[in-house]
Amino acid sequence: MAMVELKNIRKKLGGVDILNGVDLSVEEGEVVVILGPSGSGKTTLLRTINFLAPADQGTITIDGLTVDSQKHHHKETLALRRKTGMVFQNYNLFRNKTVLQNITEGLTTVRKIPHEQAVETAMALLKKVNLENRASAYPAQLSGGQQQRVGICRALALNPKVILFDEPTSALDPELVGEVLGAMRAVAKSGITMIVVTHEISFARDVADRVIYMEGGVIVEQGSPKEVIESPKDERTLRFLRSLLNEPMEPANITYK
Amino acid sequence: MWRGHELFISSLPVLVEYIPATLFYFLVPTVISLVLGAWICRVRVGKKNALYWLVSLFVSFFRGTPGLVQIYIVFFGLPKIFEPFGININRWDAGIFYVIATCCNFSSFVSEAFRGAYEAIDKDQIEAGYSIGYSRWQCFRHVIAPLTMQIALPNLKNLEIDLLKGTAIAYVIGVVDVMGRADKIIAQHRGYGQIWILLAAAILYFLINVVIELVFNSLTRHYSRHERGIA
Repeated sequence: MAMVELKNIRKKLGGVDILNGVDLSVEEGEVVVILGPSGSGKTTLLRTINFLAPADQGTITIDGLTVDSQKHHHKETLALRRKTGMVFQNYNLFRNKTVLQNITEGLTTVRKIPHEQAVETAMALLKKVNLENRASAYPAQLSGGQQQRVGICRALALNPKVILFDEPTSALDPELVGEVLGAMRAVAKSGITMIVVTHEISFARDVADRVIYMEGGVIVEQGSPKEVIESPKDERTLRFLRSLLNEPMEPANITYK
Repeated sequence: MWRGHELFISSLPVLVEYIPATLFYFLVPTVISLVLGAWICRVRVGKKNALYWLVSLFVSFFRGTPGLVQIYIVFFGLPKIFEPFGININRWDAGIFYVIATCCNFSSFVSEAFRGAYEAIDKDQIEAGYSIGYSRWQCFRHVIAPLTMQIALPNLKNLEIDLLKGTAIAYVIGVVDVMGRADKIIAQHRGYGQIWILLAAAILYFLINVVIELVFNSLTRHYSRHERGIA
């Protein structure tokens, strides 16, 4: 059985169709990377999964728990959310809490784990991303890359069934991207199910089990990184990948409407 | 001049005895209004239902009319409302009417301070809370409340200072606090040397406000500790 299953997800934002019936099934331990131009609905899709932006239609199943987007009780969405972790584009660390508190909060408040045990878990995670010496710093005292690594620890701490990464490196200075991608590679190796929205082609190529190309609120193409990135079948995928690599387009490949 | 100076010295200890009364008319509306104001704020940032409009009208009225008029309206009007039900509240202490009027007025201002602060908090912070599985209450308690408080504090400080000074007006309906007592001393001396008596009252109000200011400064330091040492 799939770990995450989305069926016919549809959503409008401000009267505009953002998602036009997305079906997606992710196996346990699978790393799925979603590519697509801005406005293609990939971030929105991610946010419908943990109900930060509930879909207008469709069902979401995580680890056997199915919730209908149209009629959901907040207890159901809460249970669903507690099976997920999320890493945000702008890190979204609790700014009034220290690095350590950011990670222990979910453990002590949500999971009701004793404080000492939570600190132990948090410190072990921080050690993995080489931030154990910044445990008592506040987010504003860290670089973007450091904040995002804490963000990853915060999501990991709750031992979620799936971690959602929403363009985790898009807000970073170029020289800080590597450290975050490195942490994400380590997470992928640990066998946690991951759904990653990103523009990092190299990450998709090296780490993803499956690459999905989205445009216009639907999945245009999906397959192994080799299939999608190196020999895309759909013209839209090809065009997007070329623009991402800054390759000059042959006039013949551009179709004007 | 000499006699006036003596009046200052003699009235000061008398007025000091009424500081607890003044503090009562300051603290009781403070506590009630913080709770009521938070509730009003919650309604006003929620769905636009009947309660929303009712509460909005309440806030609009009590922010849009003079406090003195409100005190008189409650003082003279409330007993008239209770009369048809055979309940006589004319005997109630004047202070109760003052507290009721002030709570209505002050909670309206507090709710707006909270609402402005709530709307200013970064919604990313709330999403972060939900992403780690906070329930709505947990998110309020651990994310929304502390951040709202931090932003609302400078505004609340101004309001609290105004509230303390505002207690001085309660004497118009016969409340005996620092100002009420000062008024009585002035009447005993038929207005002679009143400037010295008022000066004594002013100094007491000022000293209480210094304390209020210090309390708020330390609260501000506490709530913005995560910003210290950051340019």
